[in-house]
Amino acid sequence: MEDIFTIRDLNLYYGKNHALKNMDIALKKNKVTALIGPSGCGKSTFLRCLNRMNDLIENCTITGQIIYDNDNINVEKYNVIELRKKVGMVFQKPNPFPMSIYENVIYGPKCQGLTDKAILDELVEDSLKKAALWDEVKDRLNTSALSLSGGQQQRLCIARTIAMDPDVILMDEPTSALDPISTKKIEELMETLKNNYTIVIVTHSMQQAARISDYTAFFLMGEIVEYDLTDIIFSNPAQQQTEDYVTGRFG
Amino acid sequence: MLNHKFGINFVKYAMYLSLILLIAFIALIIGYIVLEGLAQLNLDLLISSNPLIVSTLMLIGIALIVAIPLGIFSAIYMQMYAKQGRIISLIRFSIDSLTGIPSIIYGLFALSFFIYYFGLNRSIFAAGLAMAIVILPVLIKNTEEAIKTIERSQIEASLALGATKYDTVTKVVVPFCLDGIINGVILSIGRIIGETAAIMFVIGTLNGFPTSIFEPSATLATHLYLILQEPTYAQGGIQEAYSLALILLLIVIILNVLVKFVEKYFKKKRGY
Ligand SMILES: Nc1ncnc2c1ncn2[C@@H]1O[C@H](COP(=O)(O)OP(=O)(O)OP(=O)(O)O)[C@@H](O)[C@H]1O
Ligand SMILES: [Mg+2]
Repeated sequence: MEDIFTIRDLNLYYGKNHALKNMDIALKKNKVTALIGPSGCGKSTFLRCLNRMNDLIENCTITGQIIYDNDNINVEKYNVIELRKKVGMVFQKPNPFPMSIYENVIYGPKCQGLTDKAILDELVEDSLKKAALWDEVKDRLNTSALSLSGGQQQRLCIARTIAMDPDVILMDEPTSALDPISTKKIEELMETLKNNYTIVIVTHSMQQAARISDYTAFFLMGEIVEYDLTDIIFSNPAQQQTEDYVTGRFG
Repeated sequence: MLNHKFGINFVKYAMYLSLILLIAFIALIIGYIVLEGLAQLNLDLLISSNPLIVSTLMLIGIALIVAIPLGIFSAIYMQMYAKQGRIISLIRFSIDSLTGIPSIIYGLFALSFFIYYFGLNRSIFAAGLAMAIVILPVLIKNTEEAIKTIERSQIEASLALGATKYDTVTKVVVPFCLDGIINGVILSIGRIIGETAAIMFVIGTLNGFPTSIFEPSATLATHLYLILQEPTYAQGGIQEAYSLALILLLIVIILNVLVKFVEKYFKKKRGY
């Protein structure tokens, strides 16, 4: 099976805080990989390495190789704009822009210079359909995105990411701010999305990880303790720490 | 229990009282100016104060045209681009200090710098530059505060969508701080209209209708100041002063309403 990201000897420091330690992992293409582990173990930090979001943080040093599509993205000269076009991100708290629903979806493509109204219209419909939001908003595309419910806002954020036609979608606890019904909708959505995209998702819910992911990586204190098929991680993990964590006996 | 209740009531009535006093004060000031001003206002006076109105508006225009871009760009630079460290802290501290300086100091600076050093004529233009310096800290401060309230995740969302920093600034940051910028502009307009000390010595003296910004002139406020100073005007002067004050008040209100409309227009255009 093809790897989309190959990470070799990744180390990350926030100032002196050694947040990611000697990580080696290969993420599978067109699969859902879940990152689990206790708070502060570096899941978000790792995820943000994959689209170079940590660039924004002063005093953050990253060493090692992050190979995406045969290129090491962890070098100064790698074009982050191109990377982020291919590796999209959905955040923990729904964060639509305070613009119309329509404007939210076309934000990314418009920044790339796409202006043809017909193409944009089609893109909006297509992206919203893929994000399972179209039926709920098709009559009010020009109203403010902030008028949507939290769950709808999060699906809008997914639509906004899909509109860029990425290869990978990174999701950092995308349902942790949502109610169970919205969560279920987003999980169902991921089920369909995984046919076309590689998804890397951080989650604190063991059930969610077990339900939706193909592979699971267990993080602990800045290290990857275990990485395997989700079925194995949850039924027959190699490490005692992993078993303790997934069975809730941790800490 | 009783004491506690008494305490709550006392605070409540104290608040009502201060509110009533405040409203009474505002009503008194505005009412007095309007009544006294209206009593004296006639066509002649209105016509004779035309040059003052025009040069006041010109002054506002010049100061805003110079200061708004400078203020917004500096604020954006300091918040979004500059490495936060000693130098930026020092600059921020200086800007804060500048807002507290008495305006006569700005007047002194404008006089020695623009008129003596650069040899500019005393004119609306020179006064406009002086006012631009006065309002610059206000604009920077307001814009910076507005940028600070933008959620970090909004900026990250934009960048994560492959937007450049420039796109993020123009499409997300600036529209968001529109409120702050507008607020700064309103405060600035008030400051320009009311300012005397900073421009008295660089604007020159009124001589008829201003046909260009490079002519000496006077604003409503500086003229008001002169009238009240002039002993020979002591009698009729005070009445003329009231009508000028009324005109000043009207201009402030009209401009503020106008600015609000501009804000509404921009917000609507963005589909808020
Ligand atoms: N911007 C930052 N600056 C400095 N240190 C940070 C920053 N972000 C995270 N850290 C530190 O890095 C470590 C890993 O944090 P990270 O946010 O990646 O954890 P996490 O696994 O996502 O936790 P959670 O489950 O609570 O979201 C923590 O010790 C945290 O304090
Ligand atoms: Mg996290």
